Amino acid sequence: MAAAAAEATTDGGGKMIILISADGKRFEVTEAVASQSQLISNMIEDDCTENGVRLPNVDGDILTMVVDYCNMHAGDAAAAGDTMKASSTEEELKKFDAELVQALENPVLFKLILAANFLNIKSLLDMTCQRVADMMSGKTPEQMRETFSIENDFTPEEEAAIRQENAWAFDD
Amino acid sequence: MAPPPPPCERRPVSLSDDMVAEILLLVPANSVGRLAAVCKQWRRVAADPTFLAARERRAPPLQLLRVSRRPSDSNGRQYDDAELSVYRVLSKGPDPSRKHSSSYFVISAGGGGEPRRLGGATADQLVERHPCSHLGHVAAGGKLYWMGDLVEPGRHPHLNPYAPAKLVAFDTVSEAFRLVAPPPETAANNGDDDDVLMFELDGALAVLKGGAMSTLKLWVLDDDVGGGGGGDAGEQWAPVWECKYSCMLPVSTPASVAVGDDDGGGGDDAGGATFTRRRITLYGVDETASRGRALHVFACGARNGGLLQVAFRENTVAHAFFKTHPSPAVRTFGFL
Repeated sequence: MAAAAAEATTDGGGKMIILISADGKRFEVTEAVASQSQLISNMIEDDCTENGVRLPNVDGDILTMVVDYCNMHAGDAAAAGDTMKASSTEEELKKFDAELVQALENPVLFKLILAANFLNIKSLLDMTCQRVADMMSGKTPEQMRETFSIENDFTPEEEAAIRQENAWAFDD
Repeated sequence: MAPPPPPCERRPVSLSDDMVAEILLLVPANSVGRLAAVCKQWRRVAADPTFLAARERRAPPLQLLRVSRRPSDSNGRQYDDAELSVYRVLSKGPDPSRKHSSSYFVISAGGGGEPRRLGGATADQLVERHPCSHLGHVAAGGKLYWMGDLVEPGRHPHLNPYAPAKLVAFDTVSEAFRLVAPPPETAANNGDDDDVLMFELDGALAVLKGGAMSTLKLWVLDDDVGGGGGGDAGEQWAPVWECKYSCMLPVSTPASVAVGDDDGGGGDDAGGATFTRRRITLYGVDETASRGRALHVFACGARNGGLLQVAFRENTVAHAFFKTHPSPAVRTFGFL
């Protein structure tokens, strides 16, 4: 068993894994790509990826983005020892990440956060959380609710009290 | 197989409290105040002590100044003379040549011979205000400073604790003593120096003093002006004090000025700071903002045997946390 695993890694992570989204879409990716998800990496270690990995709380359109992201970033670890290669792809990666994140709006953004959290892909989670934080800054509470489709569940009295309490935060 | 949902469906997606906290940690402080008004979940997260503690760790307050120095023995002031590569100690001790009297001596380290007594009437008239206090002695810009005063010849060398505080400056080059008037608003102080901090700041002497009830000011001494003429130490020379920094403390919360012995906070944090001596903590609001936007924290404690004094300033959430004592989960000194 250990020998087989070692063989797969020396092949450059050539072994393929099937990921299955909540709505039944199938994605075939290499182990190296999938391993960026700590969840799947653990499953690979435990040898339970034989019949495909079902991800019941990730929709197909979200999983498409996640797989794109992982494909793009799969080179990161491999290129770590090869500085030439790493530097040549670094700009492309930055551009890819920036474009991915810029295009995100809610509710897709929140769904991607949930997926990154569930799959445990730290870099994607950090990036998407930062995007939300950036979208929050400088907005009024009303604008934030609008942006993130959040319902105002305060009574008018409660909201007035909160604004009073944090008055300094509202006056710029 | 169920048909896939439309890709851009507007159904709201809710995040768990943990995820919201993760995001709110990344938001600038002045936005946190606003987003607490968005919905109950965000407000709950933003008010959670664990969240506040995590924020504190993640975004350490902007450090205004930080001073640390080696511990020195209470009766000797160590200083280096960079030009001569000599390490010397200024010490006060009994004078074998005169009964019942003590004098200042300069001792050169490295076998430089007998302690050398510093002569002059001024040296003999000096009394120390706080020989063992946390105020200690400060070396700055080639001079040593400490709290003290002159007594008239023949009088018992004991300082009236209720006399206005004065500073003694010792020039390590000319070896002259001189009295220095303290910063303008620190003179009348009823013998209570608990809220005074003296330290070296960019080569000059700095004094941090809580003023009448609600102000806190940082004074820096420009000791190059008029320093040359210095032989006559008995004459008090009017120094140039510049107020570098000033802030108002919340008048309604005098209890926010906490002076006391350390209760062991911050012992296990990454910085490894331990407070074995007293500390002073002050929360205040920015005078220029005048609406309570900023938080200032001044801290004083001992670290690795040396005295550490730190002043911080942070714009942060105006949360009930700042009006009361911090919850145990919020380690106010975690950033030290």
